[in-house]
Amino acid sequence: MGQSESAPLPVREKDPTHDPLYGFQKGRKEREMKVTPEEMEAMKIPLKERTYCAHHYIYYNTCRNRVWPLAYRCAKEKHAYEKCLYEEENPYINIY
Amino acid sequence: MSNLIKCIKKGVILNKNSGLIVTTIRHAGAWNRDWKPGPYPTTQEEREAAAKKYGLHIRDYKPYPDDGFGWGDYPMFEPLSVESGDPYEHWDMPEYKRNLGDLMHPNFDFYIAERYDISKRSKSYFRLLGEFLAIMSVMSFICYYAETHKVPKPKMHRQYPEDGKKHYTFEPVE
Repeated sequence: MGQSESAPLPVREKDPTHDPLYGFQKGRKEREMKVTPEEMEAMKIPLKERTYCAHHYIYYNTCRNRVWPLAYRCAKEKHAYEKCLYEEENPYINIY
Repeated sequence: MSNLIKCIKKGVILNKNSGLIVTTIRHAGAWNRDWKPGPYPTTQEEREAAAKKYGLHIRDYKPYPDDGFGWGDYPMFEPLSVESGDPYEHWDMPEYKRNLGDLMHPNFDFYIAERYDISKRSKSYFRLLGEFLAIMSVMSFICYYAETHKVPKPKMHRQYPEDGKKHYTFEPVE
């Protein structure tokens, strides 16, 4: 398996080894992907951005393209995208 | 108006303001034209007079060549850097390490303490090599150590929606 018990830090390149449903009697909600791979490919989203926050990325960039150069009008979309990225961090720290 | 003319005629202003007289007399001298060197000495008497004026012996006195640059009778001498002066001597002007009446080189501002030191000894090639190796070895050790002992943020990689993988939130199913 990927992760070692004695290592001080989880190995980032490998998948978590612990049971993700441990401690959840009825199970956990699955993360929901709002955009299909075909849509992301059609919108030419960078591979790095094809995460669960991709829909916020799409909203933000389409808004920017629409109102450019008045990009400050997309503050709400930018905030939503960055909030999504921020909330994404918590599971990455807690799972291993 | 007539009062003013009367005051000037009688010298009332000058008599009442002795400070005005003092400052006027003080500023009558020590102008740039008073520090200007005299004309180029041609005869022996002129050379002796110029040497005495600059406080030099006649054998030490050697004026700048009369080539049209306007140095006049100013003596030509080797400059002394401020940096090479004795730091423990009781100078009249410690910041320039010179005493009152010392001759001033025309390029004096080039030889002040934070600029050129004419009597400074250069470092040997052995010492230069040693300094180079010392700095480079320390820097390369730091680079090597930082590369091999990385401290990443303790978190997993980002989750990408792929086929056959399930990713969960932290909300339990009701």
